[in-house]
Amino acid sequence: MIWRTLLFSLLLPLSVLAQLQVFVLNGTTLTPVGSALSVGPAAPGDTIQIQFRVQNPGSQSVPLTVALSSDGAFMIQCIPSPYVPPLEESAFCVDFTPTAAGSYTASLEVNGIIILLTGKAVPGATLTLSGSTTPLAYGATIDFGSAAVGTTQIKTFSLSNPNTADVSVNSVNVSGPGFGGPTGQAFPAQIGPGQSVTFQVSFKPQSGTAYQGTLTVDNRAFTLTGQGLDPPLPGASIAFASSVGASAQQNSITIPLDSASQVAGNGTLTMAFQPSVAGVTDDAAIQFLSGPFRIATVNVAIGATSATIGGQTSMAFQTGTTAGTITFTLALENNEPQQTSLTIAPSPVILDTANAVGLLGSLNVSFSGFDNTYSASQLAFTFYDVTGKAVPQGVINADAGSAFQQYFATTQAGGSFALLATFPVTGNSAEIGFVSVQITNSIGSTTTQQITVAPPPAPPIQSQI
Amino acid sequence: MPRAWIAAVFLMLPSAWAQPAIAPPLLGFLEDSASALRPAYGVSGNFILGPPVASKIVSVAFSGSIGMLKTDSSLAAFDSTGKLLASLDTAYGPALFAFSPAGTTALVFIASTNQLVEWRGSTFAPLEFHDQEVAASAVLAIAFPTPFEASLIVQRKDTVWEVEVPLGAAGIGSQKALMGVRAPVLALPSGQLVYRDAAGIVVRSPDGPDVHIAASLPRSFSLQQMNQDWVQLTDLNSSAHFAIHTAAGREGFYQLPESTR
Repeated sequence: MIWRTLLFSLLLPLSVLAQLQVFVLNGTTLTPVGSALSVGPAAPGDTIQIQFRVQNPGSQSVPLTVALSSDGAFMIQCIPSPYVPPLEESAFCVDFTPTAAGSYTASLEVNGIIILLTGKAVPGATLTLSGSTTPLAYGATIDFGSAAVGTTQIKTFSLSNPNTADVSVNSVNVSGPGFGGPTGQAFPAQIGPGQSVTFQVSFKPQSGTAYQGTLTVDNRAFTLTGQGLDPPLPGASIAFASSVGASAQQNSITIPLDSASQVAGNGTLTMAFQPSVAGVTDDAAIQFLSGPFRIATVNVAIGATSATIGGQTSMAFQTGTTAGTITFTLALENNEPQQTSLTIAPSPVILDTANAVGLLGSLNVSFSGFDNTYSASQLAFTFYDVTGKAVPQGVINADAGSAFQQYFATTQAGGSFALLATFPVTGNSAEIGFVSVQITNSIGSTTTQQITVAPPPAPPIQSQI
Repeated sequence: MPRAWIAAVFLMLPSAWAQPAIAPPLLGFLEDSASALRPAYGVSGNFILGPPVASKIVSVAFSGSIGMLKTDSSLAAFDSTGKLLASLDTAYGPALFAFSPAGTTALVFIASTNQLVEWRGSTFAPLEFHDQEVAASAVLAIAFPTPFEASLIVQRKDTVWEVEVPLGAAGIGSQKALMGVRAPVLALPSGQLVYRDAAGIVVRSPDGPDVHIAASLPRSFSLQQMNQDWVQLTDLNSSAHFAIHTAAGREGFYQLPESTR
């Protein structure tokens, strides 16, 4: 007889100690314990764990003393707390692990309450997982791990007979959603000494949730667990409406999927810009045209063959007016991020508007456009008379490089610009009918068509009110 | 004749443009999704919104040199830098704007009171306007073709009409049906009409063929003049804004950015 005692100070009167009540927990059910409690039967080597609860219905905290006198098959496994607070409970457990067939007894004392524990062991088969020699304890949990929805995980169990006589296993049952079996062995089964049989239990989740089931071998129950995983999103790609990389373009992106998606998912699409112009760090005009500046949410619906971007089937963006590389990164959950780039090649200056107005004593030539290299320098103006014939002075050249550099160094407008050149004129500026402009940057030159010189605007005439 | 232009060109001073004025290209002014007035810069296909210069905008238009804006209770004029020039307390609600061909004077039609107000370059001046027939119609747009005349573009049943209204005189002048024109419609100082058709936007010029601009248009939208060659199209059911380029030979339809960095 081995006495194992958990002893805590006992200075309070017995009337206080008597307030404690002892229960045994079966699943979720608490049952009051009387003076005796039977456990089992269990097969030698199996363990049955008895869960005790000690409740204190009184208004004072009570010291808890638990002592066990056992022949070795019973053992306190979970240590109780030293006190049971008022209106609360304390838990402890006792394992019954018989080593051979026969009957076993133990005396459990809880604050003076004596409980006789009896256990019975009968020859039986031990249950192990295939590949393991450790018997599964009574009530043990077998985790199938994670499995994608629609796939099947199988575990093989072995029932072995370590005894000297045949043992019978009458029934093996599997219950719980997602779990199936047993397969591979019919029951009842007779197992000879030193022999074993195997069977399989399957786990096939139908959704991305946690699963729990029960494997019952005769009167022994084991817990089965597994985690369902949603299938991954299908592969996705980034597709441009136009693959031509050029400045001042409005393009759009779609995200086609490799196949119809079996699950819903989401992610982000971001854009970044790396200028190829020395000294330039960014171009604020390069952005998505809907929603936030350079990030958009991406959503995939069940059954969809393309993702939505910012709630739309496509997302428009503009390419700015700076040469460089625009990189889009698609990050969908559980998928590797993907990147696709659009290269904006350096180009000669592109002019968007050009106007000329003859004023009293001067002539204004204005034009707007962009230089995605930030290197515009030489300007050349050619003036023509009203018949379209170039005036004798020919081309008037000027180096505007420093003016452009000063402008590009401070502007927030990328490579776009508007230029106004004023030419003082002595004489009748109305004699000048046309002007053409050539502008040169590091890539080449751009020349406008002949721009008609418009007459000066008429002064306002007010209505006669 | 040759002697005249030779003299003129010979006296040009090349040094005068040695320091040309370079600035961000102003595309006009627009009303953003937060009802703020913002300048828009850039070139066709590349737009940059500037910081807000006014808020609580109900209606706005910009001619290229001056702008008109209407808040719920006032009317104001602003210049090309967004600077306020003058304001006038008015009735509530939206307004329609029209600029003179030179873009320096403007007419304002306040729908809630059927009132016309003229911007005379430096001040606002209310105009007499009491035509019951026009007042009973839905005025879609206005034009200011001459200093003495306004054109009201009105919806009568299924047809859009243009009604000429002499300024300073009672009654109305001529009127004609604008066949094929559908609301919403905007009249530009150039005499162009901008309206929708089944495939997008139509720019009808007074002396040329209609130009069709393919566009996927919102179900319902409004049109406002951003500049002499640019029209803002606002989706009335979302925060999306678009820009229509109306310059001859460069017509196009673009989406404006919703956000700025």
